[in-house]
Amino acid sequence: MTERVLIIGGSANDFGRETEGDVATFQVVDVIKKYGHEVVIVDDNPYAFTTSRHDIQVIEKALTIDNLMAVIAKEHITAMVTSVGGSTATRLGADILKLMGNGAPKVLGLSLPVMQATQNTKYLHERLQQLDIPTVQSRLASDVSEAFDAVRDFDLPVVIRPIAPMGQTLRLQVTDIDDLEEAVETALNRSITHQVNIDKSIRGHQEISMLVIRDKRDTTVLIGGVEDMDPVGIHSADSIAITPIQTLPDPVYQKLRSAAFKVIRGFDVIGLLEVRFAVDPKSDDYVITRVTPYFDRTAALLVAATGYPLIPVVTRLILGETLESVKTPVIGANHTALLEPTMDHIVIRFPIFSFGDFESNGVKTEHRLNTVQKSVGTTMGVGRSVEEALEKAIRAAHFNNRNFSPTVMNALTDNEIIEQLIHPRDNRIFVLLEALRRGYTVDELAEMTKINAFYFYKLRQINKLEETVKNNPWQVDVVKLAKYYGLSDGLIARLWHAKYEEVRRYRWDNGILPTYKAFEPSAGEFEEAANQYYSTFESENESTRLGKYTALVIGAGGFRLGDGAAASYVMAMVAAELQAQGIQTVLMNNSPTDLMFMPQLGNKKYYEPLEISDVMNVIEIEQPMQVFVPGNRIKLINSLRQNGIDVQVIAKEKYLPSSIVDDASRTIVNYFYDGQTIYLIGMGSQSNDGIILDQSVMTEALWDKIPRPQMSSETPGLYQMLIKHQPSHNDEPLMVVRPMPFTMVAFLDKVTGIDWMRLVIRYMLNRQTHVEQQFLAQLKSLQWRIPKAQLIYWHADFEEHMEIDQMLDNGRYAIGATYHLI
Amino acid sequence: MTTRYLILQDGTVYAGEAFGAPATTFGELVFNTAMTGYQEIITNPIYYNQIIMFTTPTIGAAGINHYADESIVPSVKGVVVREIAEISTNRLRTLSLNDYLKRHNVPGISQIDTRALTRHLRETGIQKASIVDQPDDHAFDQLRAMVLTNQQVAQLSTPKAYANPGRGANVVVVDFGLKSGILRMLSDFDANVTVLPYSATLDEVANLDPDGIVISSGPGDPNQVPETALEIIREFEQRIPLFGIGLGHELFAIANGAKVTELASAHHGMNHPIREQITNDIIFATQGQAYSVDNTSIKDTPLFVTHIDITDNQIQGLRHRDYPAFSVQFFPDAAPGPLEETQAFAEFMEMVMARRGGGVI
Repeated sequence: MTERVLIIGGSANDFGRETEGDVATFQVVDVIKKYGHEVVIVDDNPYAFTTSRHDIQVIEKALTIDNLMAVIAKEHITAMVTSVGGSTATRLGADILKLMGNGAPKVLGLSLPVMQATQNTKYLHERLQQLDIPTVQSRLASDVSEAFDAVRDFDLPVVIRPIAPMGQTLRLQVTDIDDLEEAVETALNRSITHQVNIDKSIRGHQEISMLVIRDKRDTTVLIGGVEDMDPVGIHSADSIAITPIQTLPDPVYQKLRSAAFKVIRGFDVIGLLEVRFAVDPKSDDYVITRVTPYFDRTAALLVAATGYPLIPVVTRLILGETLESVKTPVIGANHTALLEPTMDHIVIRFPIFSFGDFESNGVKTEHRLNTVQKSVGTTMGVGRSVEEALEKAIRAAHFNNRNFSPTVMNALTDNEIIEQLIHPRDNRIFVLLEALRRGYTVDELAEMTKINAFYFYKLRQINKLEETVKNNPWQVDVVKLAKYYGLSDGLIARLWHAKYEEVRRYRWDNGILPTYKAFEPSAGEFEEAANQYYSTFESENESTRLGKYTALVIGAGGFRLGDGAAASYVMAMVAAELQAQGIQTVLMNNSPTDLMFMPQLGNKKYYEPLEISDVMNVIEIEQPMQVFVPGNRIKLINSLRQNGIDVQVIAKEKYLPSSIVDDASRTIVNYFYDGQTIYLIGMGSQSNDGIILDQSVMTEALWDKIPRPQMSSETPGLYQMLIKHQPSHNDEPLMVVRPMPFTMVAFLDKVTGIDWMRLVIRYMLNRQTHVEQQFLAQLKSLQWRIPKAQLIYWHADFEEHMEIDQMLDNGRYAIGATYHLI
Repeated sequence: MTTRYLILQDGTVYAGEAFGAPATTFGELVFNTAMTGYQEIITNPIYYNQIIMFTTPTIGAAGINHYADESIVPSVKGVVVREIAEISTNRLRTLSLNDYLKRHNVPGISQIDTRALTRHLRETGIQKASIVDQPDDHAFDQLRAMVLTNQQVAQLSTPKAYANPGRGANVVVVDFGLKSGILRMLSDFDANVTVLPYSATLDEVANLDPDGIVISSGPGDPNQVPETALEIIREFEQRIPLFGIGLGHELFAIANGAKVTELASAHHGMNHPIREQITNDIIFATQGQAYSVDNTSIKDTPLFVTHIDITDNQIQGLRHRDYPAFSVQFFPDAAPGPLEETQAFAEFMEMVMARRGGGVI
């Protein structure tokens, strides 16, 4: 039977919601269509790549229950997918099931209980108890004596929370029995119902995630496990995360694996489920703290790390296939999806914090890490040792922030070091390194931070290595060692007070060259058909030049504040168009959640930091005809050009100009430039709330009257002119012409129905035909897909996440947006 | 920091850093793709005569724990890794892997491109290898001249019978290079176990009046195991529940007329899907095998296939058509590895208890 499948989108990008959902959605659509089903997708994220597809029905409506119910009725929806739209889609899917009851379309792979357990901790605990699986011990108390009873059963420490709190929520950690009475009374007084919740504290326990999948025949497979370096108490997204799991002994590992299977069975999930554990390092006892039945950052990391085609496999499972019937061409010819991935490399996910971006612009914020997510992006480093993976991850996170300079670390007093060891901040890793330098022992630090000693030995090794490099300039063995453990040419150059080019040449002259290894799920046991690589410095290189005529596309890297998702969208468009032009495309990036890493894009991929040395190493292997780089990587662009590389810059303006200063809205005029002539696309306006694009404002007379600015470069691209409505106090001129911000590129695509960046690429490649020329000549009569639409910046809860309580310049900082038709 | 070398019989040389004991060692080089359980693996007696290379890059981070021993001393001849972890010895981590190997005179070598070597071995199959101070002609001459014993079972099996008492059923384990996991599982059922040497006679077994017999796992070529072992299987499978594991599975097959042949490329890991033929269930288990029961040779035997490795269609389990006897190629005791197939012991003990209830032989 042909299904009409509704995919519930994830809406705006936000904390904890980068582009991983979009990556998954695109692949889900491909599989569903292959089975002959029809796809309807509801999403209002202007940066979504999937909704720019022309072969599916896209409904651009806000993700509300009413809108979805209307779509279900009108479009005769028979099935829903909620596992690619993050927590939003899971919540909405659950609401639909509850409201529509038996009349609801089935949610593919999921049942109501697991969707509820995702959102409701108490419900999760109850279900887990029914399954006889350990969970956080928790009890209600309505007076002090009941609280004492609970503590007698649980042991200290406990966390006391008021039920239905008046005002702000409250969490009181009690470690001493003498403090219990006061804490309970405080909490009782804050509770409207005069009740408190008492949880056994799991602070300091080790956080482990396991991702498991299951088919309708009840076959289960462990895709992988991820270990957080930091213990419970720091949000998992803000912790450095490592896969495969390094520090668990096999019996504990197997215990968690079995428990994860028990949970996915218990909730009767078909497809994927991430199960999160807190493991007590003293006893190896565990509790389950969370279940996640959708594709999130952990799944994205494991897909990158294992090379296992998770999304295509899972989609086939929810459509009724079995694991045994799904072929996976990644390994060998005849392998099915039935293989537990095993890894012969280490992948480290590293958070990107943006406190510095705020502070350098005078916005006050709080650097301390806690259970609320602070990071806005993710990078990953891959290597054959923890040291190498960590060095590469730190490099990929691209610290240029003054907070992290060695001088700042030197300036910290011993007391400040202790303070920051106990109350971690965004510079966590550097404080740990500095503490080791100052003579703290591994065991002291492990005790203080609850980070496994194993990692401190690794950090100590990194310190030693830097010391060795610093003290032994221009020594071949030292360079070999440094490269073996992942230090970049740039870092070696800095330690030697030399130039990067000199170090690179020295390395070349001495034959110290990178070797690339494939990502594949069998650790070399089977012949692989992989096309994804990472670098290391060992004996065997597996990556050879892809072809004579290739293009290399450099990704936008980890997300920061502002247009991360839009940049990901634009660079994905670049890659897609190059491929459409029949050009063999090599992609290079380091954010596991980025659109660029979807299998549909690129012929070959490198998961690498994007410093000049890393990029040059890939260029030396691939010898691409052209290299495409997003315009914000000015340093990289300059360095590449100095090395004689033909760089095509995807020009961008990082920020929409601040409109918060004079609180004025501006008129914007958008142009396409083919390298010689500039073409008018259309007009709109923008303010601190968002952007409006409106075709109707463009009258015949206006069309002719609007200036066509003179362009100085010959690079094709998208540009815009900003016109202020009134002169302002500062020096900003009335009219500015500049590259179009990626935010606008994405929104303009959605509104006009034209993939503008694809057009730019065709001109960059000089592959335009009369079709394109004709199209540009008739832009005036182009009927926009949506005549009038508004983009609204998403109000990410910066107050909750980063303790910022002032109005923000959205054009600069907003990490997501929605749009709607007007 | 001492540089040492891993040399292979085909002339391949890898330089690496020494850890463990500084001895020169010889053995067959095999790779293992498990990501956990290094201590269980290096103490599993099936690796007697072998140098183990781990494909997962960091080894040693969980230290050495008494509960992870599969025999009293490590059986491997050498350990090859990319990185050896430094650890703090506290709590359960009583010893580092490095110190443990030193104590037991087992050399290790780290900083090896284990992925390159794995890809090499998957083409060449098992090779003789040596960890040496200098990769010179002398070392290669020695390596090529070295003949590995085919008497592993004789060297590993207990010389004398011993008891592992319990209050439950009377189980005899015939030791062909027994790993502790098997005894641990039997202890879970409170079985009263007697471990007999591999050379036990029919009378010695019969005198113990067993309710069940386990033919243990062990190292090497099943075709080299003396005929007496096969006689025990043939004699007792008819009336006493019998469970073969690993080498014991191979012997069970041979005793019943099937053929066991050497694999072109050994398989050591825990990520292959195994299908239970009757239920169609898929399970994962630790596997370590260089030999396999020949599929075509089953036809004319009283055996039928119960488990198959889906990746290569190898037989992973057999059962007798008429008698209460069965066997598995993989390790049902886990240790290390997935726990799902520990139920094989439950099944065996159920057969044992049923027979016990039935009374006389």
